Amino acid sequence: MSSPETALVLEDQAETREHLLAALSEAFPGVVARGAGDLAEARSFLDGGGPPDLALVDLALPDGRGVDFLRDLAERSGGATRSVVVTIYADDAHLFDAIAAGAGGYLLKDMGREELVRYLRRLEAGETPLSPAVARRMLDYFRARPAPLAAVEPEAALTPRETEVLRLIGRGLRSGEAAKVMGVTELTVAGYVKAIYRKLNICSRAEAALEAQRRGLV
Amino acid sequence: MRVSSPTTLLLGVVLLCVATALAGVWMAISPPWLGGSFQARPDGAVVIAQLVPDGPLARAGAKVGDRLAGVGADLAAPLLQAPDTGAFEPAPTERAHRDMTDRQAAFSATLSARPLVLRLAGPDGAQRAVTLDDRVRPLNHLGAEFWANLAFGLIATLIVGWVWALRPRDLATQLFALTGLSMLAFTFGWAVRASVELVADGAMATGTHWLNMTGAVAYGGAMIAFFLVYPTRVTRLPVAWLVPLCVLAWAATPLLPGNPPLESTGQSATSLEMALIIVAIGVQAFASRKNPAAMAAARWLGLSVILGAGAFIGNVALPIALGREPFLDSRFSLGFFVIIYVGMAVGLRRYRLFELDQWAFRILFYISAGAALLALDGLLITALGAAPGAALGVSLLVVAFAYLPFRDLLWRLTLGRRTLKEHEMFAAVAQVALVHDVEARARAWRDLLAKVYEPLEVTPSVIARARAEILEEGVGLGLPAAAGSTALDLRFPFRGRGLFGMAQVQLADQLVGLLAQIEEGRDAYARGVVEERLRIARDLHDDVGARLLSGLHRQDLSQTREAMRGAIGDLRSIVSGLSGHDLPLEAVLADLRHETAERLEAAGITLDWPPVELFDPDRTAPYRVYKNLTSAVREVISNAIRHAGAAKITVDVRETEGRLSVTIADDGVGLPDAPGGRRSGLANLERRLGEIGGEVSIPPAEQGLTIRLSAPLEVSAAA
Repeated sequence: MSSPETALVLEDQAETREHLLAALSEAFPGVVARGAGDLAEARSFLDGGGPPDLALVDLALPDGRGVDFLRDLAERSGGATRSVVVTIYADDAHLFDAIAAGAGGYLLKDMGREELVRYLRRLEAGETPLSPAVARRMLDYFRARPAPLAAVEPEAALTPRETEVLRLIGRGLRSGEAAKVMGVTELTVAGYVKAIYRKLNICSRAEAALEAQRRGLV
Repeated sequence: MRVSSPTTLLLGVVLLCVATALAGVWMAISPPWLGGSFQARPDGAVVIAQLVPDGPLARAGAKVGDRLAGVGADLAAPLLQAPDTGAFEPAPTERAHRDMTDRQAAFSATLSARPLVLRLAGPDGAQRAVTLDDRVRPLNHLGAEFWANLAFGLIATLIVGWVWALRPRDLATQLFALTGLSMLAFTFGWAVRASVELVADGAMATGTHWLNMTGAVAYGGAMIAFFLVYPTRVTRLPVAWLVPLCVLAWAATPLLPGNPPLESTGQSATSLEMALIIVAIGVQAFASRKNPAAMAAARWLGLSVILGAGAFIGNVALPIALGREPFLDSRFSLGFFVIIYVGMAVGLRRYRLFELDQWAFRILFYISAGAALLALDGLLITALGAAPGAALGVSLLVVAFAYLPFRDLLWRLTLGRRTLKEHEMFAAVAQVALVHDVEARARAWRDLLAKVYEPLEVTPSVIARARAEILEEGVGLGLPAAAGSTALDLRFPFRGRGLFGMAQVQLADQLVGLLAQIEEGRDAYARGVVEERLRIARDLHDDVGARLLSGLHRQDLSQTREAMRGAIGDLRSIVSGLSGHDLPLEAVLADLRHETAERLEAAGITLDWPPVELFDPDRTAPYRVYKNLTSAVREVISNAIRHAGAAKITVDVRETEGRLSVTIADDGVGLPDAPGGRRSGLANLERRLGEIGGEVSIPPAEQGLTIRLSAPLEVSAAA
């Protein structure tokens, strides 16, 4: 992913919104970033100027759930918009819901400015932040549903290397450390992680299609 | 003696009444029928006063006004003289009375001859012999006086029997029942004597006469005794002996000089008793004057008795004394005594007579419903039998598809026991136990008991008991205090149709035990909630509060921010502990490692933390353990970042013999010798580890500082 030219910050607290907008400007000088205080405002931006290159989305909003906006965004942009969740919630349920809805990253609000900027820059390099908890959940997810999905979408199953990456990250290793353990470069690990995210999206989509078929909607 | 259920006793009373009625009818119809009534004229002649159309006399050609001239062909046979019918002056002595009775008996014996030949004399004096045949007396020719007086006694007996069946052990109800039985005796005697056409045969005459007189005297005695014990017991003397005493005294009167006849002394005795009853009522009213409820009961009962007996005297005794005709037909004057019992039944609820209440009527209702169903069955059988044209098949179909379901429905609506199934009982007990409000819970418990045992009476008990117990030989069940209710006494289970037995006691114990268990569970749950709240409060205060405070007092903005970030991190830990589940130790360590790596990277410090292989990958850590351990590691890392000036931090995690030890070594400046600063942080660490039974040690290191945190993985009591 190249440096984003347009960005949207969906966050209801004004101070945090300013903090995120400032971090965006610092990470990507020259980016056109706009702030929205609620879902309605963010949707009107989408209608006006089309999907941005990057979106930072809070999960709890005054008029709805950020997860719904993530889904809209993935739908409208066809996956072109990189969306990152910025939230106070660190529990598995919130995390996993967001990733299933198409979030390409998950950051916690209490990060300092420098740390935040560093993370945003990593996005630019194509790296996806992945916490051990998310990795563990992903492993469970793929383990629980290999067979039926493989029949529908052969790509949806993880390769042994990808499984290894998830396993190492799930045990608390950072991607650089995982790369060392596996004897590959950090960039390769980042590639695996991206592939995993993509498969996860496919999984959820394939699952949705299956569900739709089962219910006679298609 | 083991008591029976009220319904059984009441059924016994009903059976007694039925037997009495049958005996009365049998005694009335057994003498051969004449079919007429006779009048003793002052001139000594006994003439026919009335004839029953188609009766034996009428069929034989007798006419009203015919004189009875003789019985049988034998002219020497004894003839009934007018004075011997007893219509005129009573016999002056008991001996004379007996002689008269003997003459009546002898004459009565001649009347029973079959066929009976009577010699009648017409108004012209010409005698003719008539032969009477087919002398079975039909029931509808027994006369209204017979039926009415029989009914009076039965009504009174049923009412007293009802009250006695509910309180069989009570002296007051026993005496009250005795008045009713006495009344049955004298009305029975009266009724049978009233059915006699001319003269009664010996045994019957003596028997009914005695019954009538003895009943009347016993009635007075029982009534006096009754008012001496109810509502307030006036005397401790065995007042019940008054009844045989009165009867004996009266029976002994013929021994008095002048050999007075029992009939007249009996009347004197009852008059005297009536006066004594009024005295007893007065004594009772005086004794009850301080108790309004007893006073009301005494007043109501006394009024009933004075009104009933007074009306009898006023209608019969007074007019005779004044030489006038009774105001109302004297043949039915015993009906005034029924007033006493009807009055009692009416006042039963209002004045709570005999401690009875509405439920006393309920038991009557059930019995009546049962009787009505039986009557319905009888009606159906009669109807089916009376319809010879109807095919048997149709009748069976009607019975099977219409009547039986209908009857079943009626039965269930009125009499059926609505017992709870076991699973329903469990659900019901659980419901009771989980009612929040104490009073509402006690109410729900009583409702449940009412459903399970259907007692007619539920009263709070003054006796504290640990287990259920049978009271009054099965009439009652004593329950221990439960569900916020005091101990309870249940009486008359299954709407008075049964008694409490061992099965009910066991069930009660089970119910109470189950209730206690569920309540304990509920309390434990409530305690758990409170403990959890306390934990959250303590953690919020100790961790989040402390961090926010330190952030507040920091001068440097970045330090303030870090303190606040730490507070948010703690908040997250506390919230994640809300689920109350233990977390896999591996996951806890992985997250801690990741977090540490992120922080150290931001600080430009290298981390060497080889992933640990746990002995048991499924090992879980209790909330307090991982919470305190994580906080401790965070704190050590924070201190290292802030004060140590280290370039590299090595973390070594080991699990040995159920203990987890985390060794954190930095290559920085080491611990300053002076107290304060990093040293005060150590005290904090020791407190955290101490809470979970762990410890902090500082092994000697060549460079920098090494801190070893170790804690048992099993949750410890200190937590």
